[in-house]
Amino acid sequence: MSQAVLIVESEPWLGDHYQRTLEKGGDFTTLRATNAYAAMDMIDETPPVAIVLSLLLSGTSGLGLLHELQTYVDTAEIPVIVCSSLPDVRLNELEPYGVKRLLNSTLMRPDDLPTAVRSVLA
Amino acid sequence: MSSEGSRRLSVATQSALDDTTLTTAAVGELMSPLVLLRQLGLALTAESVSAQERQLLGKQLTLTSERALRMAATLSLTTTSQQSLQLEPINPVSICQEVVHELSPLFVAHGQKIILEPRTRIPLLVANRRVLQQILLSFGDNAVYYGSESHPVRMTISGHGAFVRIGVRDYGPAVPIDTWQRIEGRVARRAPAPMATRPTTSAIGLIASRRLAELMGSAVGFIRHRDGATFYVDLRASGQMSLL
Repeated sequence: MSQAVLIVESEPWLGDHYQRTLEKGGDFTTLRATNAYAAMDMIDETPPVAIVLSLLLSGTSGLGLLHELQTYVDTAEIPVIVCSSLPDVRLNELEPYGVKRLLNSTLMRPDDLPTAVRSVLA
Repeated sequence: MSSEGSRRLSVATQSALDDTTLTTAAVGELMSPLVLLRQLGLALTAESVSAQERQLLGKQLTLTSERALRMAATLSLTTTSQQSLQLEPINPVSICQEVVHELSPLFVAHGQKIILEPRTRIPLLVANRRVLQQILLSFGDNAVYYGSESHPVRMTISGHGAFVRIGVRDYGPAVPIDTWQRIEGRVARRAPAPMATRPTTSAIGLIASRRLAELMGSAVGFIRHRDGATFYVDLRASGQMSLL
């Protein structure tokens, strides 16, 4: 398993921002995917230590990817941090899908992301 | 065998969405650029940002706010333009050039390019200039991730007898044949996911474009290609001689 954190975000500039905060603020290496299919390919090729996931993705949604991850024993163990601006999302509803942290992207600050990744890896 | 297919939307089609639902969905849609603006703003004030990064973030802030404002302008026009609109003869080339000029900085910042396909015989059309411009800007914003240096997003103008078609051809993911039903279905259900295969772009903008086109007696639609899609608006051809 690599030590990289996989960022799955369709908005390129938001993905850039997450990448910057994780690499600068957390000393993490990162991988990037803009949709669920690309993410699964990357996970197969280079399993990440954690996944930062937006729920609004191209084609298959983030929920679809979470479901897919739970289908396999190895990928089901990868901790997921969801970043979402959706008001109705609750962590307890996502926990069965391997989600360990839920960050509200309308309120989160740059430090919150590396802190959340560190906490799920501790 | 070609998988291309065309789907023209009837002028007479009534939207299944009421204004309240559309407004609610629009607010949700605007969350995406607002979230990005906030994060870019926070990044800009971080101590560890270099001068070069600061310049880049500033540019992204400006372009994202402009995109959000275009979306808001389209939605505002949709709700305020309830009456039939004042129509005038328009040279489509000049309006397309304005759209290309306005969107080019956003495309370039995303490593993309948008061009107007040149043509010699220019058919004039009849439309409301402001409304047509907003429709074309929505199409362009919708295509911003779906081109490349070798395959730029192309604006095209073509005459089809009684109507003139202005299209925006992209090279993005496949568009399902039931795209409009899917979009409206999601909006009507207030579902959180964006447009089925074209996320982070203005699905609501496309619905608004359809409404605006209907107010001009026009129609919007799309053509599926194996490697992308063309979103277009069909407008009445003008009987006048060239104005320019």
